[in-house]
Amino acid sequence: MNILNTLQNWLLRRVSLKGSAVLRPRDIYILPTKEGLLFAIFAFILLAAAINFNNSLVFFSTFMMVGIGLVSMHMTQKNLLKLELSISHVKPVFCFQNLSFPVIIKQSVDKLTSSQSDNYSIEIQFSHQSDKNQTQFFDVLASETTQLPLSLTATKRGLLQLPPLTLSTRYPLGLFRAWTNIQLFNDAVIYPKPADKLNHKNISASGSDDQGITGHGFDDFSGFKSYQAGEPLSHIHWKAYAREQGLLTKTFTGGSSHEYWLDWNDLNSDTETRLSELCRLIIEAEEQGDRYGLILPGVKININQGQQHQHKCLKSLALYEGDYA
Amino acid sequence: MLKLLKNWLLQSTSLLTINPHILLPFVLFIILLPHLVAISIIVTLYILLILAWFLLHTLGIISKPGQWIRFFLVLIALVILVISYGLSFSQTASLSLLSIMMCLKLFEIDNEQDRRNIFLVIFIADFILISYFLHSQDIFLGIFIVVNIFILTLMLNAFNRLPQSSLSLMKNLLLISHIFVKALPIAIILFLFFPRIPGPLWTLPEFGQSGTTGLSDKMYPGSITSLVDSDEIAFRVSFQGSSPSAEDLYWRGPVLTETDGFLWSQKKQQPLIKPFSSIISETSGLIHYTVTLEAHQNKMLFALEMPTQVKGDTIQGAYLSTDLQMLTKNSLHQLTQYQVISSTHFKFNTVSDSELKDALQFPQASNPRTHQLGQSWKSSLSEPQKIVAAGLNYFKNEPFYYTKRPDAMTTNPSDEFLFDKKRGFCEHFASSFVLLMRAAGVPARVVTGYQGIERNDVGNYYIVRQSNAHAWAEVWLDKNNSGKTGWVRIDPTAMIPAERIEADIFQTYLDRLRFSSLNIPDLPELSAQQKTLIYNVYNQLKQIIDNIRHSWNNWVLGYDQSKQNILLALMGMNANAQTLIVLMISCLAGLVIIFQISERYKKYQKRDKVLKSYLKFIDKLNQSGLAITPNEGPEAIKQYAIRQFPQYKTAIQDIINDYITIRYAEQGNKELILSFQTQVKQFKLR
Repeated sequence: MNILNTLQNWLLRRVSLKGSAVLRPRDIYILPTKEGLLFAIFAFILLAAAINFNNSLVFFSTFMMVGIGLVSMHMTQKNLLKLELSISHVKPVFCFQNLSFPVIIKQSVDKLTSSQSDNYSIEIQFSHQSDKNQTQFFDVLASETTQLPLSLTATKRGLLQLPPLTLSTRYPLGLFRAWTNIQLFNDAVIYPKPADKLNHKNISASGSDDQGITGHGFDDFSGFKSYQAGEPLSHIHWKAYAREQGLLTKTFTGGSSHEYWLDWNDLNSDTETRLSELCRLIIEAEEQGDRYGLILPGVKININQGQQHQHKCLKSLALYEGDYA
Repeated sequence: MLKLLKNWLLQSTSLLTINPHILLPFVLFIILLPHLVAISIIVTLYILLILAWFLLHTLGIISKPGQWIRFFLVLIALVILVISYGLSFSQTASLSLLSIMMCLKLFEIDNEQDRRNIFLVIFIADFILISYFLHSQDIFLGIFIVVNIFILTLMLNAFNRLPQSSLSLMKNLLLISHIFVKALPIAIILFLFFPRIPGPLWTLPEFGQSGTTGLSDKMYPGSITSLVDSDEIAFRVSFQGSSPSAEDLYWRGPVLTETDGFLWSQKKQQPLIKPFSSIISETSGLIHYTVTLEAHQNKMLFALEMPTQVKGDTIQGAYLSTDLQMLTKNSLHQLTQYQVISSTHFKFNTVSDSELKDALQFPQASNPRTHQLGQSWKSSLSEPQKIVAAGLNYFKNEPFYYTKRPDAMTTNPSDEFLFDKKRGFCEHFASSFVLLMRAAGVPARVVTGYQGIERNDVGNYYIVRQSNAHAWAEVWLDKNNSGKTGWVRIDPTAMIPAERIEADIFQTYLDRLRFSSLNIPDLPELSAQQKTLIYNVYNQLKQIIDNIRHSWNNWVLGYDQSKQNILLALMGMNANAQTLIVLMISCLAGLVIIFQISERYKKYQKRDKVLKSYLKFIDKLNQSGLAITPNEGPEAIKQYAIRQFPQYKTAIQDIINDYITIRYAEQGNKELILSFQTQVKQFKLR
């Protein structure tokens, strides 16, 4: 097994990054499995018996076994051939959250138009992971798209490149294992981990008006409106939902009038803590419906509000490289 | 048509999925069946018990045995095997051991994903199946084995259907058929060109003897008679050139010199050391022929008297013994083919002086009356040939009958036959005659073998059946004024005039069929002519079937190095291992190329033109800034595209509606497909 691991590591170094990929014959490696070797040993014993007893039918059956093995090898390879892999949009997450990225697998147009065959029992897992529990099996039926929810815990803010994936199959007879390593290009953004609680004393608000960033708006409940995607979950009126009145969100007055800058220089701690705190502030500001801007060393994002704006701010936090600047 | 059927099968049975774990014990039971019926009852019961246990376990009724119980199960198995077979290492015993171990292995399958043990069980089952061929190469057994290997491959596939092992019957059946069809040419090429090595590499201990009927190296009154009803084939012969005349058709088998008056047996046979030409001289009338001998679990080969040369790939080390029997080193457990050159006219000299002395031994205190008669001839007639003539005349003139239903003769069979019963089969005639000659001082011995042949007109070869088994005598004549000298063949049975041969002797194999098996005489409305017609048709059919069997024996079972050489010679190539290997590899390469080309062609034919046009249409839309994937469904795409390009509403609508019609309503409508394709071709955005 060690040899196989060494081989796999060597192969992994050769993986290239692709947006989407159609598996070609040269992308697919194939080796006999342990069971395949056992099969070969049995065939060899039978061949020895056939030679010794000069028994034609044993010869023939042995050669039939060899033939079955070879044909199954071809079919195993074909089971991966011409599959098209891509990755759909990855939603940004905060650090230490589970990043889920759906891998989309379908038959390439070439295969689709030439044969109506399905691909069965394909395994997918992270190349560097030997944990069997993470392995997923799936079938790719002709003209159907399979979406696989792979997930990964983000451990570092910034851009996360998906690690290489190994797609393998032993279908139909399990005598051979065909596999391919593939690394799909994506740009998953990992925001910094939001700070747990904020010491507001540290922050002196600066902005066009003199309002702080304390959460006044929370108390000024003004009514309900129907839920719009992207609104903070904490504002959902769950009791109403439980009464089957649909998803309603509580709206708060006053939030819209708050307008301020969140400034890196107003915080004084080390870089990662500051980023975490800013992250928390942005989330809270957005939740309260405030208008806010962000100032980082070398970065300035004008005052605005909304999902897009929040993402822009959080992304700049994620990608901040102040230590090197 | 075929496609329709295929689709129907796929649809109707796609829901029929079976858990292969439950199927496994049944499949193993069927596979072991030929073995189970042949072995002792305890082993059979033990195996059935384990299979039943496993079945109940997979059904969730009882749990499987724990480690200690499994250990005891193994111990019990070993005890049972030792009780049944002793400590001998026979083929049957080792097959039983393998079967039991395979069944016990079932309990080690931990869970659904435990591939190693499942695979091991399936491979051992494959192995057991194929090893049946070492026992018998019968066509029907062959079909049984092939079907079971197919089923095992099906199971293997089912266990590889992950994450949940399942057997979707029709789909898997098609897949495995596909694999078999493709594997077949590979197997044929390997079979034809894999270099064959003559002879066994090593000798294994003798197999457990299985009871087969046939000539043995012992003879007693009634032993050959027991074969006369057997239609079983002893061997088949193809002559190069014409077949020999009827009086030369004596197939030499065991030569029996030693006797106690009842049982006849052969001397211990040694390979002939003396030069052959000093023993068989003045040869003429050479006959070349090939014998395909059925397995008889003995060491004897049969040849027309007198064999001068024998060769064959599977009988390396065959030799002519001091009695001029043809023998092999090892017992023949499977079909054997060999080529012989025999000489029908020859002078047969002694090998050693002791040979004549042995051929004069008259067992003491047995058959006194026979001894007396012989002695009387010795004193009255001095010349050996006169004594032989007297012996033959005795059979001719006294009321001896040739019958296949003689009475049992036990104590002094020769006396009983010669003086009391006077009704007997060939072994009675031959043994009494030899005893008479010995008493009269003429060296004599019994020769057993086969006499006669039955022609197969379809295949132009000849059949010798067990019912052709025969015994005759060989006497030593040292000086003969008017005839042969040396060992001379005398067939006392031939002395019996036709009227004293009982009718049942004439009922040959086919005659008996005509009267008994077909039951035609019981139907009074059939005329003799009709009976003959049916008989002829039946006869013809029988010959055709036997011809198929013979060709199968000859070209498949008997395919060996010499056949390989013939094949190479036909292709105009040198017969050696290198040529074979090159040929084998290039044929396999050729096969791959043919396979690739046919795949391409099939792809080209199967290409879904409608789908291709449709994808092209979507491509055209996408080039104008839409982002549609073909999987979205035509109706959704239509709505979306019309919203984006309202000015092309009709064109888009027409194309997608046509597509839906072709796809779901009128699949084969060629006109519609054609118009659909032109519409897509003409579709342009700006």
